[in-house]
Amino acid sequence: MSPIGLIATWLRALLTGWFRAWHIPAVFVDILAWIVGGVVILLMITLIALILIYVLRKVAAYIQGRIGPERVGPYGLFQTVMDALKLLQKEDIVPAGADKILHTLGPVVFFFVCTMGYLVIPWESQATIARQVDLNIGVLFLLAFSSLGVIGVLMGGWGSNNKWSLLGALRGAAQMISYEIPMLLALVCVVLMAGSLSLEVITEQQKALGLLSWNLWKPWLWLPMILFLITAAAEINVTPFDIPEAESELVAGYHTEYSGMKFALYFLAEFSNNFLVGLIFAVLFLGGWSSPFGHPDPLYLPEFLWLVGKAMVVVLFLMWVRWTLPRLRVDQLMALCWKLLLPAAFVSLVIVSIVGLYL
Amino acid sequence: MRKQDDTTFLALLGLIAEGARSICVGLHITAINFFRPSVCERYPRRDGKPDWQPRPGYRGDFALISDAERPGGLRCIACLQCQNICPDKCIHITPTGKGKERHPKQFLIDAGLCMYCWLCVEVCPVAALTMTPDYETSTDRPEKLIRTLEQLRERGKEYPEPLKVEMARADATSVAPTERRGD
Repeated sequence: MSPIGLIATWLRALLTGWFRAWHIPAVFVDILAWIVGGVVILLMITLIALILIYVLRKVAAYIQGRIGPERVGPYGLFQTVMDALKLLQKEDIVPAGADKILHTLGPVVFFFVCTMGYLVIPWESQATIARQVDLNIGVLFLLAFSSLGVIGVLMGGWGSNNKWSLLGALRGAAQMISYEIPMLLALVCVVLMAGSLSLEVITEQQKALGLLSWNLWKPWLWLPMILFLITAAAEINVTPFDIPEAESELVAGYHTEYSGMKFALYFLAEFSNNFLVGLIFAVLFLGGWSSPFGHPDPLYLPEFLWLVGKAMVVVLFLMWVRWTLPRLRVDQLMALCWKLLLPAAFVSLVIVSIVGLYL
Repeated sequence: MRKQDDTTFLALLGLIAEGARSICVGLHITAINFFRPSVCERYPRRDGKPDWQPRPGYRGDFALISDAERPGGLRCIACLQCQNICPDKCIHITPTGKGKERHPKQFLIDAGLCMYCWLCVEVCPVAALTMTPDYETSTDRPEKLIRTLEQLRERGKEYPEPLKVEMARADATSVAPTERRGD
């Protein structure tokens, strides 16, 4: 049992005891546990987003020969905290003629969808307070919610009553829906080899020999892996594929008209999405929570640390790509998806099916 | 992605390989840049390096060089050449005295208008006007950007000789190549 699992179990036992003493039905223990789990996940997402924004700015600065934030706190570590506090006290502006309901719901839906993805991530081998059941359709769940994100983007873009927002939202919708398909096919390849849609099972299969048993080393999964990286980058709108936001063309795309906490929600969701992609990649190809030095972990580190560390490596790689490649044009983006990635995804599906049959 | 309609499958594979190679080259370059030291000069902090100076040739706040033997205690002969040559018309001089006694009664420079082109310093026949390496000139009100005779005189006391024109010119372009990062 991991330390977090232990704390969770202890808390649960404590609450059950208290509630019995106070004659409150045991259902409320579950409800409280869900609320606590949700709050923990939300806090973690906020924290990760704050860290990622800082890391992103530092990486960008170093790649461009600059220094980056360094004034607020040691090495500028509190810069993003201060930015968040600043956003908290900013005025919340709703533009004239905007659809107030859609304008408000847009960031909420987008953020909600982003957080849902975190529910199915197998943080540890044992069930923890945040994820009590092993969802046997984990991959399907992730895909379903990642395609729902488009609705949040569209709501924000349409509700803002602004041409830049609308253009950005429409581009975003076109891009996210198109890239959904090769991404799904790439994931299906992994699922085919694992024989299960559960992220937990996919992780379990990679833990035996540590580093060596990762899906990363299976040549027939290389094509799906590259496809997943490309399509996931497109799905979360990072730079070679950031045309929904395209600062040089669309001001800020679908969140042009947002300010204050609504903007912060979009921003937060974007970075949590970024990290979610890292997590999914780590689970699918880098062995998830399993230690790279074999099972059981010779270092006795908490399992979720391995997962977070691997995800960070993937996120850093995405940042590296982000500050290297220029933005694609809209027609290039669509051509890349439908003419290249989609056929490649089908080819890789066929290859993986054949390998799966004879292996 | 060019010429998609008449490309053969092999040519398409070639294009993909070329694209992948160029991405790798780009990643390589950014990776090298990541580990290079930054070219940025940190804005000098009082606690860090109190004696930090900008590079030679930096053109900052203005100063009038003092000369105790002349009336007004300044070298300036109020010939108005700097006022006339200034492209921004930011120098306003009120002269006083006749002949060798001529000196400025008031000398105003609007630093908010000035573009630091150095023409006034270059044109000065007695090398009385100069720009100093003082870089902290920001204020909260535009009126405060107008330098008066007293301010220029005070600053001039710290700089007995004007910055060399040649030096200011040459050093602006001749930063040592090892300190610059060409790409």
